[in-house]
Amino acid sequence: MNEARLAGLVAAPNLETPADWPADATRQARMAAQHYDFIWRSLRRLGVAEQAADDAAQRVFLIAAEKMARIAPDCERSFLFQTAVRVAMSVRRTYAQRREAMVGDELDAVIDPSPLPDAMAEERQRRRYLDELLDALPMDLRTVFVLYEIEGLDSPEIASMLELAVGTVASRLRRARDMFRRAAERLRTRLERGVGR
Amino acid sequence: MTFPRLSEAGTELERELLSSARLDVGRQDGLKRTLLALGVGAGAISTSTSTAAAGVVAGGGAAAAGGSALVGGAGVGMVVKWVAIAAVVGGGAALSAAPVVRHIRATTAPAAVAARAPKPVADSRTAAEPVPDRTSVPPALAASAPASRIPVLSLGARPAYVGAPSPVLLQRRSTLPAELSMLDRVRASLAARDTAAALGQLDAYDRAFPSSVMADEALVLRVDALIAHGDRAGAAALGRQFLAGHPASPHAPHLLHVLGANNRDRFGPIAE
Repeated sequence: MNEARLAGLVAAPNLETPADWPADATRQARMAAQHYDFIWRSLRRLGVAEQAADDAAQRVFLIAAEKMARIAPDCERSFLFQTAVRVAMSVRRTYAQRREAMVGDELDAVIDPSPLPDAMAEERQRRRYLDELLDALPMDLRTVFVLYEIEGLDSPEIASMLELAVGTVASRLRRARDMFRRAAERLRTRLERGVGR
Repeated sequence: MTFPRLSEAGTELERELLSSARLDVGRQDGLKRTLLALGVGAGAISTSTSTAAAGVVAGGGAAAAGGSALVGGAGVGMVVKWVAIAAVVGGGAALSAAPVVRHIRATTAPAAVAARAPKPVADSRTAAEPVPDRTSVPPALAASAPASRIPVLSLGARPAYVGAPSPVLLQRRSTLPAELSMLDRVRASLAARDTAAALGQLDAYDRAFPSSVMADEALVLRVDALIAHGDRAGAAALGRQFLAGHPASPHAPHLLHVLGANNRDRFGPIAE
C-alpha cells in the first residue's frame, strides 16, 4: 500500500476498505487519529491528572477496539466520550486512593512536574485553577459543561452525544454554570487576598 | 435554550481559565503509543523491512497494550514504569534498529523484562475496584507467561498481526511517525505560547509532507496558532475554507468554537 493510499484511508472516513487491510484495524487507526486529542483533553477536564491522561486515553481506545463491532459509524465520538467519562471516574478513584496511601518523596515523584518555562508554568497554573473549579461540579454536570464551554458543542450535539434530552442538557448546563461561576467568584476573592498563588 | 458561552461572555478570570484548556496537550508520543497499543500502530508506523522485525514490532505493540492494561488494575502512577518498559521493548524498538530489537526478543522477552522491573509501589494498595476491562492482562500472568503468549493475550482479537503479518503491512512505508513528531512539536510550541515557532513548524510540516496523513490535524493546529498569534482574519479564512469542504469533520466543532460566537451563521450550514 503506498503512502497516498494510507493517507486516504486515514483522511477519508467513507473510503472503501481494501481487502488487504482489516476493516477494524483501519477504523481503529482512523478513530484514534481523529479523536485522540479530543479524548485526551476531555479526560483532563474530567479530572484525570496530567501524568495519567495518556494511559487513560489509551484505555479508552482499547475498550473501543474491543467493542468496535457494536459501535455505529456515526456514534464513534459519542461512544469514545462516554467511555472516557467512565475511565475518568475510575482513574480518579484509583488515583485518590493512591494519593492517600503515599507520603513524602513518593508523592512528590508523582505530582512534581519537571521545571517549566515561565509561560508554560503560568498556563499550567491556570489549568490547575480551572480543574479546581471543575472539581466543584458533580460529574453529570461537569460532562455537559466541558462539552459546551471547552469543546464548543451546542446543546443538541451534547444531547446526542450523551443520549440525553435537550431539555436535560439545558437544565444541567444551567446548574453547572451557576456552580462554576460561584466557584470562580470564590477563587477570584481568594486570589485577590493573595491566598493560593 | 442557548447560553452565552463563559469562554466569551464570562468574567476575565472565567475566560482566561477556560481558554487555558484549549492548549492543554498530552505527551508528544501519546497518539503513537495508542496506535501501538491497538496493534494497528504496529503496522501503520512500522519502518522495519524484514519479516522478523515486523513481527517484533507487532509484539512491541502488544507489550505497550499490556503495559497500559496493567494500569487499570494496579494504579496510575506506576504506569510510567510499565509503559516505559513497553516503549523500550516495543514501541521504541519499532522505530529504531531491528537487530537490537531481535536481540532483545531473543534474549529478554517483554514479560521477562517486566518481571524484573522494580515492583510497582502501589500494586497492593490500589488494586481495589479496577474497571472491568477484558483487555487487561493480570499482572501475575503478564509476569509469568512465556514470551510467545504475550502478544496473543494482549492483542486479543487481532492475532493475525502477531503470527502472520500481511506482506502489504510489511511493505508499508508510512510517514506517520515523522508527521506525528512534527505536529507534537507544534503542540508543544503552542502550549508554550510560542506561536511564531508553531507557525514556522507548520510551514516546515507542509513542505515536508505535501500529501500528509495528518493534514486535517495540521490545519486545525494552524488555525489555533493563527488565533493565538492574533491573526483572527487569517484563522477565519482558513477555517471557513476547511469547513466548507469538511462540514461533518470531527474537527468542525472545535474550529467553530475557536473561531468565535455565532459562527454557524458566519460559516454557513454545518452538517449535524
